[in-house]
Amino acid sequence: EDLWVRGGRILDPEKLFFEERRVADERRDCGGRILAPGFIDVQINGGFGVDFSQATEDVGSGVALVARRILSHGVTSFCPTLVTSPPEVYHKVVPQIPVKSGGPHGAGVLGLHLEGPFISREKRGAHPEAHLRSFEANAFQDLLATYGPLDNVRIVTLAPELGHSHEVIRELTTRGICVSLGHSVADLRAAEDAVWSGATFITHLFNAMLPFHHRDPGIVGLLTSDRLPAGRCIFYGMIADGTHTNPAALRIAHRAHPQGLVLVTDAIPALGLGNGRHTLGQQEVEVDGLTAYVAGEPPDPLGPRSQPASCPLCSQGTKTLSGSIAPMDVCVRHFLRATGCSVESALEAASLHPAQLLGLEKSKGTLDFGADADFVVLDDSLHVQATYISGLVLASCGDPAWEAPMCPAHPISVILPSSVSPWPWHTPILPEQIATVGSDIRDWCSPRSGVVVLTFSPFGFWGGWPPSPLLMGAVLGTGGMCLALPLFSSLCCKAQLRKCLQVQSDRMVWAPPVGREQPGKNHLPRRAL
Amino acid sequence: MRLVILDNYDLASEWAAKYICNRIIQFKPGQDRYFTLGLPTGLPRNHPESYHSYMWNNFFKHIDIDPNNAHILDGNAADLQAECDAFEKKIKEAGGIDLFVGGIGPDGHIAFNEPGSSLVSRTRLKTLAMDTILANAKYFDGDLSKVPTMALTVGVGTVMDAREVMILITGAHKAFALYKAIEEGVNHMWTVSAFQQHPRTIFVCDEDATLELRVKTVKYFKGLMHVHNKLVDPLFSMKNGN
Repeated sequence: EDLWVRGGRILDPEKLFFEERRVADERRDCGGRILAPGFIDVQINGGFGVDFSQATEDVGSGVALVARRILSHGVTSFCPTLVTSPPEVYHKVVPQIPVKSGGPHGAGVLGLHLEGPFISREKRGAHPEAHLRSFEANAFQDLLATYGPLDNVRIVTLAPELGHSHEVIRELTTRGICVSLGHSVADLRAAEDAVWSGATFITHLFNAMLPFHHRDPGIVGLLTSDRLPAGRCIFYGMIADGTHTNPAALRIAHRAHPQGLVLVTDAIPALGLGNGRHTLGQQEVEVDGLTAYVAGEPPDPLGPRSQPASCPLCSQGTKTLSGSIAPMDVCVRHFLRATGCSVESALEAASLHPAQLLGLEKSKGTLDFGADADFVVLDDSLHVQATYISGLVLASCGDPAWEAPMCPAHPISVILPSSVSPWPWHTPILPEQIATVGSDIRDWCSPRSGVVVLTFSPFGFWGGWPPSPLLMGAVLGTGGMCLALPLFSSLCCKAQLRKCLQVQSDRMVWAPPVGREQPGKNHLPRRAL
Repeated sequence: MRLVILDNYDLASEWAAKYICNRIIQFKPGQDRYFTLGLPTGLPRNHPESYHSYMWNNFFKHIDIDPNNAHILDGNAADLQAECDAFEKKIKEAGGIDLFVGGIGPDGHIAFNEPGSSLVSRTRLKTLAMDTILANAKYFDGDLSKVPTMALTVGVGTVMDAREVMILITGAHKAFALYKAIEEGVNHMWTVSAFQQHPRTIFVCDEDATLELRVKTVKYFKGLMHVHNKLVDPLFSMKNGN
């Protein structure tokens, strides 16, 4: 099975074959690697020194940095998460993080995840007590006053046992915002009522909620509750870093309700940095190996598992977990190993299920025709080899076969920013501005215009471009070219859109939508491994 | 006629595939064209059961053929007769068919040339017999009303013009048709029997399809298997091809 991409979307090659009578313009061979939809992280507090909950002047560049760096973990879309913060922080930060499509600049932002401050005091975990709130009489107005305008918000985590929570949940759901239950001491009944009001997600199952009890399972019981609305699938986030949940608990949850499991990182700013102290919102955290704790507590000589992660009775002297620093691909590998599930299930938990949670399963988390071409190439041990967004390879593992297109006739054909500078003043070239240079340049131009459109980055040529004299020679060699202003980039954009990419793989992991998979019929299902 | 008898469906398919490979290699393709078969009319191109989808999923998707060289009769064309005539013309322009690969129906039809079709017919629109509709019902969820009743098909005469013909017959339900095709006379009620008059025909079948044949026939052709296997021997084509 091959994956065909055109115009940033996955293409049905049958139409291309019979109606347009064309073959692929560019071919990449996966070399037997696994092709899977890009990962979606719905809970990530920051990373690489960037803290989304800090009200800095330039929040956008912090988000952009994280968006670029998580590409190498296989994440193609994410929801930046803000922990409990004072209202000023929300008013400052939320408007600065708009929903944005992925591209060469980094993974796409699907919307914000606001975790708190409407959470339980006892189960606040690492959230600062001073800024917790509950709903006053005006419930939803109170929420609006705290957060500000909700245009960029995608998920809100709250505790359903707070008063007036049901109206809030209903109001948020009607606005298309996904409501998640977490940091709560709700019992199963309260949780079920919240689901009836519209809640669809559970924030990091097992953590920051009452433990499972056989006579009152609490929020954990939602996984197997029979009192939920018909046809509704309750999704639950799990941090599969080996610390937040014992693998046995992970297995229990997975076996009870595999279709709802969503892998999240809950990554903190210390992700990608070493051990030591870092901030998370208004808190300080200490990183030690793959675990992060609220700072100020003495190190535990017996190791992280000797004491319960958060004891409701005494949080002093106990290790309170504070987010995670395991990247998404590490979580996927750990999840696979711990549960012994199939590779498809592990990959779905990181891609399809978060897309289903957010109602985006037609365009994200899938390799169906018409979906966005966000996918990852993995080796057998699920290490990310390359990440693609909209059909452009954006992060790759140093394998030269991935950097260059397969066709030798185009030695300098498509220029892609394979290494992105973190300097904030270095504006990356957008795909519409990239022209192709080379002997077959006419193939890439709009036939009507016959001109070659070139743009240059403000800081000279990108790494991988040919030396200037050769470039100028190629430019002069074709008639009618002009140095472009971005105004002309639309011509190039059209040319760029017409070409299509064929990614050859016989190990594509994708679940066709329910009802399409009919074995024995002529139309073959696309899932394979 | 060569009758190649293999043990089961998979072996028969493999033999046929290898034979086609060898023929292509021997031919040293440059301008070679192979034509595929008829199409049930009335279905949109992207309907999962149309021949376009069938051929795409089972064949074209897996090979690197130039799309301009893949010709399938379009059942949605405005003027069906003109479409058929154009198809015949395309065959002629391509230099004729080198190898025609087809199956057989339980009523002995080749392509959709139902019993009673002229043995010198050309590409045309045919009404399908009840047998064929029943046989194809499984592709339409068993609903007979959904199965198309008309089909565009190459004619018996068109196939006879091919330089070589290969017919694949597997399964016990085809056994009687095979018997009628090779052990009885040429008869327009069993249109496959027309190939008795073709200079180069190969019938590839499995054991079940030989159930209605005379033991003498089966023994004779099985005895020739060592000759037949040379046809699929990879070295054979390279020796001859160079």
